[in-house]
Amino acid sequence: MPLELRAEPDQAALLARVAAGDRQAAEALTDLIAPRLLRFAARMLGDLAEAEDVTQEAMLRLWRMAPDWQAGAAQPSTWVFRVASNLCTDRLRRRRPMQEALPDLPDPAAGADAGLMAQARARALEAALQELPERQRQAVILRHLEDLSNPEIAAIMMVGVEAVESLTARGKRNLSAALAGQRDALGYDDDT
Amino acid sequence: MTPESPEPSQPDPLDQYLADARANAPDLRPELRARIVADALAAPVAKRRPSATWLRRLVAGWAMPGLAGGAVAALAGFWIGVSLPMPVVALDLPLWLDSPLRFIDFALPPSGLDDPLWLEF
Repeated sequence: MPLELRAEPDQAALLARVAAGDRQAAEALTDLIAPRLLRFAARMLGDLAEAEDVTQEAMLRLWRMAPDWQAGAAQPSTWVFRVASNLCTDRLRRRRPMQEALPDLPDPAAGADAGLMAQARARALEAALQELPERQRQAVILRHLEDLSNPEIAAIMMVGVEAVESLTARGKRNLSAALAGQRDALGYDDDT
Repeated sequence: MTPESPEPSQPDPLDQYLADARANAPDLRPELRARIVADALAAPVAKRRPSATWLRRLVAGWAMPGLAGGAVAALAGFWIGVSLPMPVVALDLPLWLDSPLRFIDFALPPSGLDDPLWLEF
């Protein structure tokens, strides 16, 4: 990968090169955006196969926009996150309401492996995320799992920064409440 | 006066859950990456085919409002020609005479008056 892509990639410039048929730029932009999109969609939908479909569809829409992309508009990653977010919303609305069961947890007293426990905690968090209202889930994933800034999240969710702060705070509170009963099973002490 | 040292904040257990979730995130499969890159190389080329840019310019500029105005004016003219509205029919009435030789005033009679000939002008 060229040095300039590793340092501070200009997404709009990369997209312009994609529009001109540059394979390297397409690969660089895919590596930059697609893994994050996939993680976001997987956590929103709780289904990896659906998340892959959403990722491919969102990226395809970005490629179609490439020839008409205007420099100075929003970052391509912000735009494509918004597209993915809308695609996830569409899929969630089409689904029948269902209650995600929390996963079976390994018994820490039985000397469960630390890696297994970490995986179990990750699965427990994913399941608890599915119980959050959609907007709170979206805000928590983007802020605390994808490390986006509040203004970036506001641009993706098309709300104000204050609304993002409120959504993430409420989301974290609800997550903590959902996971409270599992801390012992997941190897956490209450005094830590 | 010594400044009070801030109480050490309790670590939030949720942060550990979030850290574990970040560490156990799904990866982009090479097949999916290849499909996305293939889409990238196909999509812009398809977009570059002769598109309806002239149509877009027509719709975006003043041409469409101008055409719409022209069409409305033509329809209005047609309607006036086919069914003569009342004010235009009134113009066809005998004109006011200023003198025996001149027709000068195209104004309609004041409201409430009938045909001037009937009033024996």
